Amino acid sequence: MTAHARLLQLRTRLALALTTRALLIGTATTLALLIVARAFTLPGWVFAVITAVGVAVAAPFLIRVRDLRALPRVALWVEERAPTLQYALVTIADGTHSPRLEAQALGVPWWTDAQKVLWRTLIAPAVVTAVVAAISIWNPLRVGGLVREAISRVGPTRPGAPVSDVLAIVHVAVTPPAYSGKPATNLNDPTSIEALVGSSVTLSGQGDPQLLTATADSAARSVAKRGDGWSLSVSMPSRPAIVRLQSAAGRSRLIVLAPIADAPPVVTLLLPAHDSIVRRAAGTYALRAQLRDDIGLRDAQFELVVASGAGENFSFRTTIVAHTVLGGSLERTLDARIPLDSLALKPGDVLQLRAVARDGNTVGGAGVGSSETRSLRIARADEYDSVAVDAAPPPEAEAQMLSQRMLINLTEVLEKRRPKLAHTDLISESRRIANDQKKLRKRVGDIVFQRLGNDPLSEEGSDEVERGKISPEQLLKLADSATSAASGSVMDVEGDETPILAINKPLLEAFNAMWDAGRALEVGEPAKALPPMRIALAAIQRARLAERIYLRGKPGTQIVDVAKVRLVGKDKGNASIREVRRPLDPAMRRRSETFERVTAMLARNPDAAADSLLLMRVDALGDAPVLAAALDDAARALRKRDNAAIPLAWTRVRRALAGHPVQRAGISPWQGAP
Amino acid sequence: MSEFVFATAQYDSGDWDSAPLVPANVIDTIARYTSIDVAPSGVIVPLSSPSLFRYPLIYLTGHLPVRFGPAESANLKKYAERGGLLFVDDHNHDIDGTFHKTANEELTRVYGAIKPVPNSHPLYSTFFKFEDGPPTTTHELNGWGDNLVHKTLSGVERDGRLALLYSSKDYSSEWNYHPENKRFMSVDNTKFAVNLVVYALTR
Amino acid sequence: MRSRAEIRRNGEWLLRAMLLAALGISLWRSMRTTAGASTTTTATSRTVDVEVERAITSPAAASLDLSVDGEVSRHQRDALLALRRAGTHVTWHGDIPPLAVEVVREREPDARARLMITGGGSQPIVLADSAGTIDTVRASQGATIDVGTVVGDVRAAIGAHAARANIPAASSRRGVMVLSRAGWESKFAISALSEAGWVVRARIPAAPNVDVRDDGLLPLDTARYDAVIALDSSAADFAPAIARFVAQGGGLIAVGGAMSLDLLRGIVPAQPGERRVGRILLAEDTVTPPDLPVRPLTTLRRDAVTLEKETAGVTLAARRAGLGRVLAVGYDESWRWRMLGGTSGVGAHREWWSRAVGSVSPERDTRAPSPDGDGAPRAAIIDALGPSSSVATAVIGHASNPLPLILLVVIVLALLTEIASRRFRGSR
Repeated sequence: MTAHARLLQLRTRLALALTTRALLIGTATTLALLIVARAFTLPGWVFAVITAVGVAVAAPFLIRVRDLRALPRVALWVEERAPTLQYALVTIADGTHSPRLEAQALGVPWWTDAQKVLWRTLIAPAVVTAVVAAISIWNPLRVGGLVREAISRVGPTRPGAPVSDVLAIVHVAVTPPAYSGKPATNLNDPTSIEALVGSSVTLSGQGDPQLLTATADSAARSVAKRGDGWSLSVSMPSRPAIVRLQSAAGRSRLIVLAPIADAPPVVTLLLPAHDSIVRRAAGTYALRAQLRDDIGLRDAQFELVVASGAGENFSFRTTIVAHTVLGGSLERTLDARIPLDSLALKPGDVLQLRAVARDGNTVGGAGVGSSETRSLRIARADEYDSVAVDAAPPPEAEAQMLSQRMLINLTEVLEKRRPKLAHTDLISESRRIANDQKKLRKRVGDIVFQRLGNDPLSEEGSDEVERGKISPEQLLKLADSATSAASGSVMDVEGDETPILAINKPLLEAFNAMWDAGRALEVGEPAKALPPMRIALAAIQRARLAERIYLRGKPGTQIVDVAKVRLVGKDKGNASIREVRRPLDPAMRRRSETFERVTAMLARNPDAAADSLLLMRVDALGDAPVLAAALDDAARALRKRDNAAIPLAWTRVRRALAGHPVQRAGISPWQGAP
Repeated sequence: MSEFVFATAQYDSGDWDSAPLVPANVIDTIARYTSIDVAPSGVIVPLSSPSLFRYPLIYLTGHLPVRFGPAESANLKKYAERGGLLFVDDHNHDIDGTFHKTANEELTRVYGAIKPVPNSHPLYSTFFKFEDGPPTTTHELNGWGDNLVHKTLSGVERDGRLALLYSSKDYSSEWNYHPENKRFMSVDNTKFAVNLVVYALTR
Repeated sequence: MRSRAEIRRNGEWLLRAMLLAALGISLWRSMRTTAGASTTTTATSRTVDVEVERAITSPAAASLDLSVDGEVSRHQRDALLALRRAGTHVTWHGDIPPLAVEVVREREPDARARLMITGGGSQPIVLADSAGTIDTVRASQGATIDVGTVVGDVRAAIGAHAARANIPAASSRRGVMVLSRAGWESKFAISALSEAGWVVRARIPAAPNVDVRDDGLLPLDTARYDAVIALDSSAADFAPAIARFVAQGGGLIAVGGAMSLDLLRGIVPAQPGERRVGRILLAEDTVTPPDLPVRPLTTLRRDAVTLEKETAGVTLAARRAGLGRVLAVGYDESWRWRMLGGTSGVGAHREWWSRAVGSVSPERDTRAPSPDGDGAPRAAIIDALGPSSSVATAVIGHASNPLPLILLVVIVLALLTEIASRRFRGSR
């Protein structure tokens, strides 16, 4: 090989060595800067700057390769290291060839030494690069992950491309429990998942599952491989919980599991409309209940309990009727008719009934809803003169109400027909209605008087009223005085605790209105009769409501002579030492303090602040839904770095925590005045 | 200052008025042993009525099945939250009885799990000392109920105070006599009522 | 023809010359400012720091006129005052709206924040803290705003002008003693205060010589208690101790018969009148204080402050007695508010009692100094610099002079380029 050829070969190697050295130095610089940068949470562009710095450091070394274009400079570089060549190599490089020069140039094996020098120049940068790389691999920092993360922060992830950040996007698939019949739903990057208890929640994303660890409610969960990504399945718990995903790159993601409980069915008993006391258990009892559920009803039935006996000796029988399978309906009406004879009710027996419905919840067990209970009591013979005993099995609605409604209907029809009727016919039909109104009025009067502890109105008594011996006003006064007597002294705010007054006042109002209506009907003026008739109907309805609340019998009143017995007891009490009641630590106060800390963290570490908000949300889901919703919004705004939404979300959280600011005009002269 | 008014709960189902003389007897015993300003007669308050909140201590008893209507349940929930104490006594004194079963079911729905009240509870020492817990009644072993002496009462606490006190001891029978009869008795069996009222007024 | 190496060397000499020239200019500038003529400088709120700094380092600035177009912080104001005292004529002008804000902690366990604002005329004042906007308020006659929490400083702003205040640190509260006969009023007052975070100790007589009392009830002193609540005349045996407690700085809330006790009669702000029955409500469970039975306060002392008045009369009055404070309360059945006050009754009753105790509790906070700014900016600047001047502005644009920066860039670039060139050609 000629000296010229060897020189050309060395130039190639020299160029290669210089390039390698520049690359090593650039890489080492970049890695070293990344190691430093990982100590801080920096925006994505910083990583681009770090890469640029690495390139900038490598560039001056790379530029020197350009000098190798001149072969004499390569020859000079060799001559500098092998002075015995006496510029023979430089002369050859300049294009002069002679055997003597060739022999002189090949006389010393300079190419071997040059090779060694080249290797030596690479050792230091290679060692440094290796050390830095080793630190970055060994270190939990994982510079590679950081770089990938930086890439993911700077640009969106391309679908199908190998994903470097396993938490770049988290997909969530929610499959509600089968019994609900609801479709599955999908969410992308949620901060919170709201689903029925028992729903299957599958979180998935791109990337190696080994780079991800997961915990749900502080328990480790295994992350499975799915296609070229990962997936994690959890079941929606009955109480709020947190799923924490932690990537190998040090990034974490919290997702709140917010369970929606399946509410038990709501059951309303429509019939019978009220409790009753009857003399004889005969006829048919109509039952009707309205059933509703948020997910779906499974079945429903009426439950009947018959209590027999008195004093200390009672026996009970339970019967189920009208058991109906409802097949997941959201709303249904349950009807049944029971022949009272079949229950063999004896005087003194009490029949209690209610409707019960179950939903189809197969996860936490069927939710059971029940209606209020109605009772039907069979009066004993010695109770027949009691006011509360109905004469017959209860109709489906209050008798006098129906009658009053019917009378109103008849009067309205008469009023419509009036222009076509002869005066005598009008008077005749009107008086017929007046007569019915009079009978009804007597019945109402009977009820009032009986409840006041007097005898029912006799025909004479009724006449007395009508003849003006007792005016309706006097009747009302009588009732009021009876009321006062029954309740003892009238207390200030407790003055209206007299059930008798509550029921009788509307009935007396009805009694008076019927009087006015009857008089108008007597003189053939149905139009004038209608307003008081409607007043009477409304008053009867109010009395019915009051009766539902108050009347089940007339309580006896025992009055103790407190002054007489005051402190006459033989035994004396002992002084008692209480334990000081521990002040409560209201949850809102604790949450306010946490929120203050989160606010302080906001500028420094927004991701940690968002995580803290989500933890607060889990705590608030049970008892403060408005706060929980506000916290979710705030966490989402923080995650998205939505600077426009963050202040608004923060204000919402603050108001949910401490209420709206309360403004008062002026400044109190006394600080802290209540 | 308002006087203490003894209130009996009236509920839609069952025989709420099965012990009509208990209020007078309790009022008598409060006057007999304490200086508490007490109204001379009791009142009857429907559980479904807002009037319930006028009486922070309410007595409820009966023999028959108890089923609270929606308004009654809602009112009782609010009553507990606001600081009221509901004293329920099983007039059947029978833990297999219908009153016990249905009342427990309904009360659990409103108050949550009902737990035994320890016999060291302040209830038993707040005025008179009852070293062995709730005083036994003569009705517990009369053969009509479950023939058991119930060692404890049960209850539910809210914020460190009793919100519900449930008794299977049948104080409703034990105290259901005219207070005048006390002059014939060597031991007053209504003294526990004083502790109940003083506890309600001071805790 | 000159070789590349010669050109390069000449370039290096040129850079050295530039370097020396830049350094020379800088030196000349510094000498010139020292020996220059005096000037009047106008600063704005944004440039006041720079101008104050310049005025300190340059004796030439003989006067400084501040055009206030925004916030001037406490330390800026202090610097201007110091400048004036050092001989510089400092004046100011500008339209600062009259505005004042103060933040206090309620003297209650939860130590909520209360903002008191005044001024601003008809303009809305925007209140904000570190966590964001709190509210907007018009406060020409003063306004009080109760907020649960405040994060960092509170800023009350009208346009670019703002008053600032910060919230004092919360101090821990001491106990409350309740003295009352057994009854619903004492039971629910104790419940309300316990729920609000107070440590309550009570003495409740149930029969002659039979008390229900808390462990560690006595002694009554300001080291253990913030306030005493006497709900009726059963506090008679404690009256001497209560009077001493109030004189030493403790608080007293007196209700009903407690106001008429001989030893307390001299310190309470009023006496209870005849009892008026409460209002009978058609819709129950809606009770509010005006519906409650009340004993309106009569014979108010001259120094009593009326805090609440209903149609029946004064229901709440307060006064200072010795080092302490005393509150007279006309309601003796406030428990009905809690039990019959609807869904908000429990919370409202609790808050009322906690505030009542807080209003008589001793002040134990150390008031935090105002932050970077002050509670009343107009008053503060007048206090420091006197009334505003009408000096015509003579703008000297020192703040926008870019020459020092250009010189610095020239020096750095010339130095680096010269060194790099020299090193690349192999010279040291």
